[in-house]
Amino acid sequence: MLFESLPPLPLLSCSTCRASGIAGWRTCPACQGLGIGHLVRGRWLYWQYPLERYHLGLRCARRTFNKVRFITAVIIGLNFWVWAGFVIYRAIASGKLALNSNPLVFLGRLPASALTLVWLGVFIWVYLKYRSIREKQFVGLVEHHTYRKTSASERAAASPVNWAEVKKIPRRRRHNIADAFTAESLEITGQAYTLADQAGFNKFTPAHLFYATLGSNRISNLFVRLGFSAESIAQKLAPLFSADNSKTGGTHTAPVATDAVYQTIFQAYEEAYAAHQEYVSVTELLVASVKELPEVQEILYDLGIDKQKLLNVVEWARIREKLYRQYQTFRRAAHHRSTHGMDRAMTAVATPFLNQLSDDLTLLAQFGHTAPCIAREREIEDIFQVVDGGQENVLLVGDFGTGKKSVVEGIAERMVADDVPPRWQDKRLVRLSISSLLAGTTPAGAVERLIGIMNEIARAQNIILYIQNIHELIGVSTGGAGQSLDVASTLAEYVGGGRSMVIATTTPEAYAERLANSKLGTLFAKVDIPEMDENQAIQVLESKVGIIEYKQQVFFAYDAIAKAVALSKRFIRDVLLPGSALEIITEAASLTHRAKGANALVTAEEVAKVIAEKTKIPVTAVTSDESAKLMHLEEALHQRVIGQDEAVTLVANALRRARAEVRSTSKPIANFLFLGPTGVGKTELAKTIAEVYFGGEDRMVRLDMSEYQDKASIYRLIGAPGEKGSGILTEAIRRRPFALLLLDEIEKADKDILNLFLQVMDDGRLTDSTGRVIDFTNVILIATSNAGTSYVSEQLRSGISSDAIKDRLLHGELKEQFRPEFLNRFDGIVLFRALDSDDIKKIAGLMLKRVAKDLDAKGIELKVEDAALDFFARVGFDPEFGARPLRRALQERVENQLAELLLSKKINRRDVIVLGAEGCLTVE
Amino acid sequence: MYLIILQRLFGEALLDLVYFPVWWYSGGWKYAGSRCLVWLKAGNRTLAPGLWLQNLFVPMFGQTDWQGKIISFFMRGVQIVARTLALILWTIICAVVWLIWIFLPVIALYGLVRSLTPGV
Repeated sequence: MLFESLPPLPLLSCSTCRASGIAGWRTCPACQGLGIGHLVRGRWLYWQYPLERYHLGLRCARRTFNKVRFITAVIIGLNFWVWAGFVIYRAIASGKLALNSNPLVFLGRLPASALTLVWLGVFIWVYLKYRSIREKQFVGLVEHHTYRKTSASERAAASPVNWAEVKKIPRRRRHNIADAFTAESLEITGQAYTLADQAGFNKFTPAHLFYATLGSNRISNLFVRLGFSAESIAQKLAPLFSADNSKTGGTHTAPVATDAVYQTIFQAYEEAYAAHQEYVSVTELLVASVKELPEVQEILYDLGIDKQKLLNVVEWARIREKLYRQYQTFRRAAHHRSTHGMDRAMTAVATPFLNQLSDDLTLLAQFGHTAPCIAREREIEDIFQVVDGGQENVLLVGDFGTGKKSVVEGIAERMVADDVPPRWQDKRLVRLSISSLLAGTTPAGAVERLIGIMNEIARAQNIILYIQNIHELIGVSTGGAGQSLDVASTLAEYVGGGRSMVIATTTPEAYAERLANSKLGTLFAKVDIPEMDENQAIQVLESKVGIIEYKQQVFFAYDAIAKAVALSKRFIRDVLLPGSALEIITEAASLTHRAKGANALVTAEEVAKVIAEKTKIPVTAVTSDESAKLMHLEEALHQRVIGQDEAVTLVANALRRARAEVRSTSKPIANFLFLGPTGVGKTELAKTIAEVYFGGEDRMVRLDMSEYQDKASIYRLIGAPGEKGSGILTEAIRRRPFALLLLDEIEKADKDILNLFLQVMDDGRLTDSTGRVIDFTNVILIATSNAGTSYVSEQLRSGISSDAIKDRLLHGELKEQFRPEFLNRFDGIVLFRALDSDDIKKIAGLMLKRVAKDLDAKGIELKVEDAALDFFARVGFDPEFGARPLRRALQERVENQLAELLLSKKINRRDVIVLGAEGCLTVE
Repeated sequence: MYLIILQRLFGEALLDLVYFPVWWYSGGWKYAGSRCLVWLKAGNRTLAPGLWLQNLFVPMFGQTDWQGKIISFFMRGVQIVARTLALILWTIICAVVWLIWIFLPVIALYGLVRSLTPGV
């Protein structure tokens, strides 16, 4: 994604002072020091920080001077008091002052010189207080971001076109944006000017600004996250400066800030405003200068840094700062809260029994044991709204890994900080441990415990109960059928009483299966916690990565995080985002630490390795070895499949497209229909693909479609209604999403079953009986069929081309067996031609190689003579049955004899067996 | 240029010394006042006599029997008085800090003049 070029802001610049706001030594009379600015959101935003040699020098010197002044004042102040002490000591030593006298008398007799020194010291300290407050006193912030629409009058107010109009704007509506810049970003701006000045340029451009930002630690860290050092970027900028023709010749005058620089500065302010930042920091300067410089965009683009990447990594830096600020505010707020589980008015009751079986989440949050909750503001607001609306019990429904616990912890943190609606204030959020409730007792005992807990909660009045995985309580019952006492029913009785407030969590499946129509389920208001989208998940990972980095002593590149999210979403379906991606980056950090040592950078490649190890899917970058292998894939396939060039080429191309990721990700990798007589290599080719591309024949899900000849068998494929995990097809692909799906003899299946595959082939997904969507986008679907083979054989014998036969088949024979929309969904329909005797000879060679391999494991060598191959090609050849008679011939004539020889101990280790003419076996 | 900058910085430093008392009794006065107000609010939040007054008839620690109610009422009464007194004391401390801010330069000046003219 390229960077968009921003429309220029309508800046009004003072020509008298060249936008500096200063003419000579005084404020510019034309613009009254406002320099350059524009009217936006009803305010006049201007830049009053002169970008001139003298003023920048002055500001730089002022910073040093302030430090010197402060230290000098401290030394003088201390000196005064030390001298005062010395004078008093001398007075005591000389006997003029008695230590044992009344304190008032003692003070009254103090030498005048000592008193003078003491009071001078007091003056100095008062002055120091004044200086420290003045220096720390904040100067300004970026305007507070409002969501209100601009009023009609504000829109109508056109930006002033001359300074006379600007002067009419009241002072309270004027805002110097330089005040909102952090000290660092002002310093960087100054450094950029100095850089242009020292290098002899007569113009100060955004390129200098960008170059100067690279010197900042924050920006340098940001580029490290992107996998580059700031120095390497700086080096790439060199041609940009050498090509600059704005250098002066002999005499060098001070550089003048160009309009583009001011555009960059004002755009940086707008960036900060749009991102709800309080200050304009170096990151905003960086983004704005990149947007202003197409040449820099090109350089970054060549390095693989596009707009989204840069913005996301800047967002990462912001998240870290924001979290730190939030943490500070939170700590301050937490300080005021009781750690004894008591409310401020002391109306609550102690809950000793509940405490034994639970954890106090608010207390844990108070001591900093909970993780911050990111990107779930909307869900938390939903929960508050439900409770405000009168419902007292909330059920959070979401899959594993979506962050239900994190939402509850987020609420606990807000409760500690008192940032919650009144009904939640001054309360404790307590997590009931189901294992503690059920441990070491009978269901009747658990019911008794629960009653005790619920009574305590009702009396205490300051407890919000949190039950994680509430469905685990359903089904725990005492007594036989018909007279049972259920833990869930007991809970329902108390929850429905309105004397307690409960937050519970469950999964959508458990909700549908156990809660939706139960008494307990009706007492809760349901709030869905959906899976996060990729950007939200990235934000969560960015917020959590700091802890992992600290534990494992490694650093994460931005790409690693983005890749973890993208690949987890695609390939890990058991746990949802962000849980799945979090697991991956944790493992990638540990892998990197082991492989590269401490302080190493975790890149996308390590993340891909972890995913590849977990899922056995090749997602790592294509290496040169693998690349060569892919380029010669046909040869690899031909080592097992003889002939069938068209089929092999078609399959090889599909595999190359998939590995290079040049394919649609919303469909299976490829859908093929293999047509041909029996024994010509259709299944063998499928097995070979599973071996070569998916890493083993066990990666093939094979369905014999002859077993699915009636309509009812559809439930065997996708599962019977209400029975989770009973679908043969859906379960196999859910467990192994990266596999080869072979549908053998597809023509024998029921027509309705074929309709099921229409969706698989088109959208790459199938919904099972429990409503779970199974992802088929990483499978290669191969259907084999014998339909129309006799017709194909006849036509091939009469010399008609393969394409013409295919065309006729599609409009004739195949149409009788399959619907056109089904045939249309195949990426390729491949005709497997019948084998000739040459092919059979080659196949015989391959089969005998396998026999030789088996014998080799027993220490026996098998030599096959050419005459033997000719013999088997003759006896094993049958144009109607393909290579199958050959297998039988080999079994009867070679394998049977070998078995006899082995069992009768006529051959031993180190023996050599020769297979000669007429299939005769001789032992050498 | 360096000489001009140095000149200007010294000039500013002198002006700063003149501005210091002006700021102390204008911006500084407000600053100290607002800080004291923040401390006062924090004290009120911690001691919360108002909240205790609101709950005067609510039994403490969920003791809803008549003995508990009577004890709670009197205990809360004592707490309210004690907390109010503590808050008053805290208010006085905050006010004193603010007064110290106002009078410190004057007292220091007075002490200095007195020490320089011991006979007067």
